[in-house]
Amino acid sequence: MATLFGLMLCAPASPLYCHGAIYEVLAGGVVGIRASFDTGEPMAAARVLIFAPDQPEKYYETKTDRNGIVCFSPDRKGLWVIQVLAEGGHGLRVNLPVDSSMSVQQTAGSVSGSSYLQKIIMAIAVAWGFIATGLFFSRKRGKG
Amino acid sequence: MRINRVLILLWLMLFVSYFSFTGGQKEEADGDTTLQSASPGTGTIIFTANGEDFVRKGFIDKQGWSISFDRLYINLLDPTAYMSSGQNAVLEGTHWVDLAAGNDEAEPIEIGRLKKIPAGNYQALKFKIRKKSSGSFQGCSMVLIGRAEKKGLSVPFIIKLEEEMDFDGREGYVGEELKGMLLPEKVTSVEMTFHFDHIFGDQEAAANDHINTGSVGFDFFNQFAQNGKVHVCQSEMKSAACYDTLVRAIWTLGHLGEGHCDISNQSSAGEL
Repeated sequence: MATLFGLMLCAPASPLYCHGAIYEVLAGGVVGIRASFDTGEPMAAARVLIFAPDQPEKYYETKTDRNGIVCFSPDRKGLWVIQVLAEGGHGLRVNLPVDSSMSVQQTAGSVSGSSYLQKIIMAIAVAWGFIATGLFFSRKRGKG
Repeated sequence: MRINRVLILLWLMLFVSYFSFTGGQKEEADGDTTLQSASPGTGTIIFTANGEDFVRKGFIDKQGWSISFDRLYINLLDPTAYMSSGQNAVLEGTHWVDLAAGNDEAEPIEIGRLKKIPAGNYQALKFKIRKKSSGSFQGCSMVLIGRAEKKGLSVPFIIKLEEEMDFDGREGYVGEELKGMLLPEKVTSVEMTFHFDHIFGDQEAAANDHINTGSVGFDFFNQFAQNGKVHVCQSEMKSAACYDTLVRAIWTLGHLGEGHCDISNQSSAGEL
């Protein structure tokens, strides 16, 4: 049982289900985004559209570098939205709330949601929790 | 006693693993509050559905068939634009939409609009696909009507799908527009996008691209042709090879632009 569980933890998730992306906000005053596929591969040379707060109809366009990084300097507080459009129909949208000191309030996130494999593992984890607890208490009663 | 300790330790490890998998996503929720507190006004949200150029202009599938659509119906239920704070806007009811309506340059199809919605970042959109309960194409959730052509052969088709499922695009719309950002006294749109190339594949993509490896192509439907025409329901295709591939491809139809959706409550989930 433990071996099966270990194998499941090590099994790579199917790329058919893991279409998400990961971002992190870099330190240093300038707001930077590192966009990656959930395999870890960077979204290199991807189109980036940057929307300033309260201006949904126009954007500044740039590209990520070979490491999937794009940087910009916010000039006002509010909710900035960054959309990264990678090849192959992949992309991500990131909301960055910027405060009055021009700092971003969050540092990282995933926009993939739970992959199919993650959901399986979570379901097994919860089920095993109930089973293990039941076995523990039934064994204790058996001894008495 | 030793076994009990092992059981407890395993349970705790799994408990920690469960919460670690759900970590990293809460940060995405905080972005709504800045806009919400500063903009108490209301605006209008327009709900649209889009089959993109694949439906409007046609395409060549992975097996070389030139696919074109005269009609492509889909039955949508209760599309809901929402913020992570819980604020939502529901376009209640069922909506039988023809994604092929209009010409090659047609805009996404407007399904309906809601007025006087509190301003905010309604980046998330969820919607259900259900079978039609009455009228023509009763019992169908999607109907594909068109023509496939290859090497001088022309095959008209009517493909009736019955799959029901729920899509939830928490990531938001990803594309060349910012959708769902509702400012006071303004109008925004939200879009349900459907990638029907996932069913047929695309000759312009590499053979080992997931768009082709995860699709069935028109040959799958052509096996049901009679007198040179394809007129088939999903229930009639269940015993065919690669039927499970078709169903799994259907489950990937729903998007918000290029933004992916979580899927749940698939009617065929227990059959594969």
